[in-house]
Amino acid sequence: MPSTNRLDRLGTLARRLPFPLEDFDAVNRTFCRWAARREDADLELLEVWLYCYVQRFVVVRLLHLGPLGAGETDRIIGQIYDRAREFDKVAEPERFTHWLSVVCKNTYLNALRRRYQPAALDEDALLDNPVDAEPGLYEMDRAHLRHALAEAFRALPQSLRDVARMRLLEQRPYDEIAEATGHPLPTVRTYAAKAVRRLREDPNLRATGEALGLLPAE
Amino acid sequence: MNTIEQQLLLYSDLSPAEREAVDAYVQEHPEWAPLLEEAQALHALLRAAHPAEPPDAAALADYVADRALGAPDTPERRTRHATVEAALAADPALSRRADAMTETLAGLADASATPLAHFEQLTGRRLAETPGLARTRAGAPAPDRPPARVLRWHPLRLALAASLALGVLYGALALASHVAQPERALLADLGELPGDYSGLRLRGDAPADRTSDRYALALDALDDARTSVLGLFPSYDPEALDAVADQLREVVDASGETSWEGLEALYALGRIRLYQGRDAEALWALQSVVALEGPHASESRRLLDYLQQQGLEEAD
Repeated sequence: MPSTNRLDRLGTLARRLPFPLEDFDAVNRTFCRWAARREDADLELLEVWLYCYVQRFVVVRLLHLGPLGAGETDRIIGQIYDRAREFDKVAEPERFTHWLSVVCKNTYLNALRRRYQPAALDEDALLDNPVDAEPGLYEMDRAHLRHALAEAFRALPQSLRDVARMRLLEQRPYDEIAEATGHPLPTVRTYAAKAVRRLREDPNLRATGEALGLLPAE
Repeated sequence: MNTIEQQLLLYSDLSPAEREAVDAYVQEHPEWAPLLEEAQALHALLRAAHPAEPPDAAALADYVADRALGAPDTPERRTRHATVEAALAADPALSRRADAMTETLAGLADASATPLAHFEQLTGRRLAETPGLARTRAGAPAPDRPPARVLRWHPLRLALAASLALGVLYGALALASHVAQPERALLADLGELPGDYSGLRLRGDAPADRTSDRYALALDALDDARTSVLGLFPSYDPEALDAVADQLREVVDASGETSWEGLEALYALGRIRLYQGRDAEALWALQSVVALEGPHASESRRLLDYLQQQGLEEAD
């Protein structure tokens, strides 16, 4: 096994962050504040966070590809970072992290096509079928999904929210929910169905689901 | 909301018999099929919010990356790690895969700049040495500051103020010097090349062999070709630069492109030709560094991107 020291240096920048990498609420708040005031302290924090985010985004994906040429990881990180650093292109500052997830995904696929890899790989399989390079949902993607779900659930009327949370997120049985909320069983079912109908119409949740390949693009 | 709509929206909750009935109804009334499809996709999306069990390849990569990148210890992360560790203990093949990923990660770490250096290169920022700086800037309320004391101008403070003023003046001149340089000169950054060689000198007091010696002489000549005032407004004598480029070519020919000196010389040559606007030779040298995986492959790629962009703009 490689020594811890060799790997430790990868986390040097991430350890400077004042909040967890996946705290998208904190990031979006910082971005909105920077967009409004343009203060350098916020910009520096955003840049450090962005680097750590991109680094994480790239590293977990490259672990499936095997060794790359020297400097290739930095090149891919740099290419995505430069594209994602175009903060003035963010139309909705409060949804900066969603914009970022889409930019990262698209730029990563482009960067991967130009990579230099010493060992021969089955190029066709990798490039023609990006699913091979995306073996499941990474935790950072899941964090985006949870963030979008939390926002979508917050937008539900209070009467639906509790039932939706208990049934759709916590997967509790209907009778238990009926007991917890004091609603008759048929009402709980109706509320759950109404919540599903509203959630499938939520534009932000749809956009996140589409970006992660979990919902078909409209 | 009618019964069929409710049943479609909660399809995954139905018993097998109820599903069969709903399926038959949708076949007879295909206008309901899109709603069923969308509802099922939404339920799949809701399920995806939970970590995969048993851990899939992505979960394994996250686990390996968490350990290396110093992810903060949260209850959610602890639970996720415990699930992966249990799977690793039970499945030797999965454990070998995790080991292979850790090796790959170590390889990536070895072949990359440190994140701090790479960040500084990308942004041009210089971060404070101590990680605590960002924490005070994170949006948390700033600590109360002690009241400002009345400043007394005794000689020591005057001296400090004078050196501060000189520092500010030099900073302003450095900024002017930076702005005055063409984009190519900033990218080529020839003043930084001799620093790259210091590592070789530190390993031994003198260069180890003749090609190393030639390389050292070329870099010394590059240093001599430079004129500046207090390190500001640098410029290079064109003829001297050509002579340095010839020397570097000789190093490449003598030591071979794949040797350490050959790759370093190619990189230096590429930067010199970039500075001079001799793009064809710059492209050749930098592309060789990338193709041969030289230690400066990443920087070379960045310079190649610039040259490619320039070529496109000229073509337009």
